[in-house]
Amino acid sequence: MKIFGRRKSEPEAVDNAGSVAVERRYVPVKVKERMTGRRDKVVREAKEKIRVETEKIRAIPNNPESLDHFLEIGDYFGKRSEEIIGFKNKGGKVVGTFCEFVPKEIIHAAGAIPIQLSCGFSEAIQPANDLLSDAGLCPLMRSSLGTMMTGSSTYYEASDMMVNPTPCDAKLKMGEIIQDLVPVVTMNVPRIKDSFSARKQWIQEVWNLKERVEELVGKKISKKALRESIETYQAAQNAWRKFWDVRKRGNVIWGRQALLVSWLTYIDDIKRWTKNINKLNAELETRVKEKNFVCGDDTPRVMLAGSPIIWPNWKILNLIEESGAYIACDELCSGMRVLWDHTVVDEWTQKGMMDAIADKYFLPCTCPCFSPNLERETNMLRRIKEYKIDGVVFHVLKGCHLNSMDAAKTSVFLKKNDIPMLKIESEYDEGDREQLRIRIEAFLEIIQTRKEDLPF
Amino acid sequence: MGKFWQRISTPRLIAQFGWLVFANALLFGVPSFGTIAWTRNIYFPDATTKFLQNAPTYSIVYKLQDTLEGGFITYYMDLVIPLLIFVVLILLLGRFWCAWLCPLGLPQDLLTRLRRWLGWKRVELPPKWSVALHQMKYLGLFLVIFYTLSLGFPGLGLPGFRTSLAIPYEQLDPNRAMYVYPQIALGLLPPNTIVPILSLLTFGFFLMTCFPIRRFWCHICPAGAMMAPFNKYASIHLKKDNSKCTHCGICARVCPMEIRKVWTEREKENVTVSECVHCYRCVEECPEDGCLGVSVMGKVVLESKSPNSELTNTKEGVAT
Repeated sequence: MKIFGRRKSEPEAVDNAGSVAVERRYVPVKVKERMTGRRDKVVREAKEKIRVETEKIRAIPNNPESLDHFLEIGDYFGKRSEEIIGFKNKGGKVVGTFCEFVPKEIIHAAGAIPIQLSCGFSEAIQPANDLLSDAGLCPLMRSSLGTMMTGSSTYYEASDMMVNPTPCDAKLKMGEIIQDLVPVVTMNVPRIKDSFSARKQWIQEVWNLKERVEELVGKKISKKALRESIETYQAAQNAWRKFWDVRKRGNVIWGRQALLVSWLTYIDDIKRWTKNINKLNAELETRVKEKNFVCGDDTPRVMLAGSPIIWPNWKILNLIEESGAYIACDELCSGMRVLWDHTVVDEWTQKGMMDAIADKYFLPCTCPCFSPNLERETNMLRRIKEYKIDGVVFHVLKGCHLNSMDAAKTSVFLKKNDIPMLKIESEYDEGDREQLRIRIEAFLEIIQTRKEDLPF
Repeated sequence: MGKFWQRISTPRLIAQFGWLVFANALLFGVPSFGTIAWTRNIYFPDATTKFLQNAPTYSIVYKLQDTLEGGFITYYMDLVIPLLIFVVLILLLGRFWCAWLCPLGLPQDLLTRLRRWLGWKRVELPPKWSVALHQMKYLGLFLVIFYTLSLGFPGLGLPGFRTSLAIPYEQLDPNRAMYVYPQIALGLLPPNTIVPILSLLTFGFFLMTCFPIRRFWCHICPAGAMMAPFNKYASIHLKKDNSKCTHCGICARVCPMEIRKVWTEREKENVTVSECVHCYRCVEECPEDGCLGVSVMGKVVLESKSPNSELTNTKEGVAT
């Protein structure tokens, strides 16, 4: 199925029945045949998964009204997909992004739609396994690759170009594979931040991205457009901080809802997202005033750390909150961190703006790919203090070595600060659900006991 | 962050203008002012010499030269009091002078504003260069003091130079070329005041460097070198709450003196370094609540604010 005809430049690519043209070097020709017919299954199961998770969130009593918009956008095959198809048909360009590192301001300024592609479809993992013959790799990467190969998601299909920063090995090599299918801009993330040259290199990467985006849309990004784009994102950042201010003042929204809202910054139109989160903020603020809380003060307050959690793969969040805890804050790159850091521009020249954008995505980032990662430590301790956290759940996707190793360090400094931590490893599928549930429940019990023992 | 009236740069600009008018036109324009004994003892750390008719803006090193020549007995009281005032001012305020009062700071800021308004990009000093320049100013100060004092020693036989080239910095100071002509025009100075050709040249250099580079003169200013060593111990200092810092590097990027210490510091609370001119751009732009601040005698008078805090009181926060 050829929705958009973006592959006109590759006449040798043959499209048949739902498969993506897989022709050249990394992806062998055989795979193309194997992928044929898989799309329907992946789409069917993904739709079902999204429906189930949406229903679960809708079923939470006392839901804020303003959350409806987010649930609507959260349907990958619904409204937003249609919008993107409409935009494409009008000649617009869509740029897929793979990581929090991608400077979306630049894509937005060029008039293209930035859309996050990192994927939460557990069904799409199997096709990637067939290609890579290694089930021990990062499920996020495999899921993305599988979705890409089977062509199961409109967002992937619509992307004229993909931007793939390479903080970790999985992303690095995945970029190499998907280059066979679609033009990819690979951004080299320097892993050691402290040096002057690292920052310089990253700024150069951002300039490269800008050039590639300009090539794609066929026009230069003007200073004015870039400024407007930055200001749009600043408004979103302000609203996002406001949201967390409100969450600080009372338990007004569940963590699984908050994480959905944060994930959709990557998917939704940023202006509309800002408008809606402002509405949500206003609604939540009245709830704080009315003391209309979703859970009491005695609920164990948990901080979620580690690997990103991607909609609709809400297993861990559901497990934690259904077991009676409240995810008061997180430090995931799909969570609180999405828009927390601010793009502060010193001088509104092209160079000044590009520096500001590059710095925003690079320097304060607490991605475990950096070493030494002292920012993460500071950030976690700060959030623990601000949100009165009782315990930390460190979630590691199986195969995410960076987070797994950071978890060891994290447990040490958390112990020093007398905060219990639970490290859980999980896959995308449901196989480990009950095992995880037991561990999480035991952990929450520990927290609860500690909480009650306190002298107040 | 915020609108221009919420920014600390605005009162700073007003203070700079106010001081310029106050110091140049009003205070030193009053003929009788300079004749009052105690006012002559106020030495401002701008290292300029007496180019205003009645101004007490002697260079403090010039005073030393005088003292050496005249002997300690004659000028003893004359030297001690200004030195004391100078030291106390430095210990109290550090380099507060540079960004808030210095008559050379204002044109630098205005040049930067002009460049921004024109939309030209700034020239970035490589970190090694800016460190080298920072060190150079000490050399400049040493040479100025060394030369000036050598003239003062009667034994060296140099007093002849006192009439021709008493203080080398006087010949170099761009202040002179910049302010003397307007002052002559305003009738504050006698029309026969001479501006040395060198200071015209340095004025040209000043314009050429300070337009593309933020506060370039402050990097090499020998007067700044006089205050720099005491900056860290001044009662007014920059403080940083390390637990709130995200190391986003904004403070380093907006700093006109290219200071990276505020950004890289992870332990200490006092992050004032000798190059800091107390412009508080970092405090203004820091996006974390209460991360950076200015403390005077241990009391915090200014703190960084999260950019969303301005939204709480406006319509924007509710109904955009």
